[in-house]
Amino acid sequence: MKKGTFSLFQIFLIAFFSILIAITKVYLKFSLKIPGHSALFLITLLIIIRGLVPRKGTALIAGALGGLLAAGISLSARGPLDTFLCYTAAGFGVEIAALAFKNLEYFPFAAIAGLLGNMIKLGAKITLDFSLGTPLPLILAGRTYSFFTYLIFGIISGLLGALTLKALRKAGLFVYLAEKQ
Amino acid sequence: MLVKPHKSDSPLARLDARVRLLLCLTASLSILLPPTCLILLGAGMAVLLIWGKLIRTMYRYLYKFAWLLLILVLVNTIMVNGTFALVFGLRLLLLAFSFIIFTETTSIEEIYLILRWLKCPYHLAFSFSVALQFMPVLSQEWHMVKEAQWVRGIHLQPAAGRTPRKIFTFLHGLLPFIIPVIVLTVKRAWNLTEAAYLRGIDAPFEAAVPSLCLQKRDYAFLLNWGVFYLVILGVFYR
Repeated sequence: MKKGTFSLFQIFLIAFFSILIAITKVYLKFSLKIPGHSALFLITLLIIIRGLVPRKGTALIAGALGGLLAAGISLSARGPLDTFLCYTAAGFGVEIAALAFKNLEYFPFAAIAGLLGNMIKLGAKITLDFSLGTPLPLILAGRTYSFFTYLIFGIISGLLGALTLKALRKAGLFVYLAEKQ
Repeated sequence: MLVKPHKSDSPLARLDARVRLLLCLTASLSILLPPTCLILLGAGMAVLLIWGKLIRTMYRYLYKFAWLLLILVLVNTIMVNGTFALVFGLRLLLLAFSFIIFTETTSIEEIYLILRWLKCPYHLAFSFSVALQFMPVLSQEWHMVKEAQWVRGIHLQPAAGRTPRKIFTFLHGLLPFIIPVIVLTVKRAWNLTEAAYLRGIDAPFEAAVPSLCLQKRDYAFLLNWGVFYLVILGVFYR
């Protein structure tokens, strides 16, 4: 394996996680009905895959591929473009945080990664609002509540991601992965 | 649907995948044009959806989101004005339908070919297209894990209500579901990696795959779409 490139196993892992990201949206529906709650699965899985494959661009690729798939298998009110952009933006956010902090198993870092991922996702939604011609006061009125819920769910999903990574380490998955690399 | 292993029976699916991608990108960019152009574009898209036998998908979308669109239009009418609300609704519909045309008519193989055409590394394009075939298997695994945990008395309680306690209980119950799924996914990824190496993925010569090639019907469609788009732009600049 060349330095800086993904091994085939890592590529398969990313591809499978992108599928998981897409199918959790479809198969695990739950009735929270609060804006930004989808981060519980999306951001959590992005943090987990970034922890499992600690290479530059992992979260971004997983987010973009997951977005492409989710856009293909599920319908959202704003159409597939919205889904794709939001997932990619979330992946980008997690990637930036991962590049800055490295260790996403540490709770504060994971919380920041989750927060950043979810807020950039909200940013993508607002950008799409602008491109559709929505006036600023209307966006502010609609997104003020969302801002706080996105913030909270971002932090929670980051913590959940770190918790899962710790649990996976305890279960010996990282040792298994190190053997397979 | 994108995850369909085979090509859809829509006449649009017979076109080259790159032509459909171009169609969806140009149509989605056009939502930034003024209302007169949007009406023209909407008419064009409607013709395409009818010709492409995508009426059922269109109906499914409208059935699922009509109420949301209505609310958005109503809110915009109250807060801005009726014309703006209608234009906003039309933009939203056009944006959704332009991408539905692509996602509903594109097969996994075509996605692979597009990725290769976009100079995506062979390993990435190959593993993504192979992993896509496992989508039903992975969703089946989700169900198996869910059932196995139910048997053990662990339930994924729907977090009805928004009290922090209920949300916390819900989050606490997520881990026993996430971890087995991740472990199974990692194992499956490793099995596939082994299989790919055994079949010579690292061989110096890549396996011959059909490449994308524009046919006469693709050129004809591109010509029609180009003329239609020029008309829209003509209306815009007039």
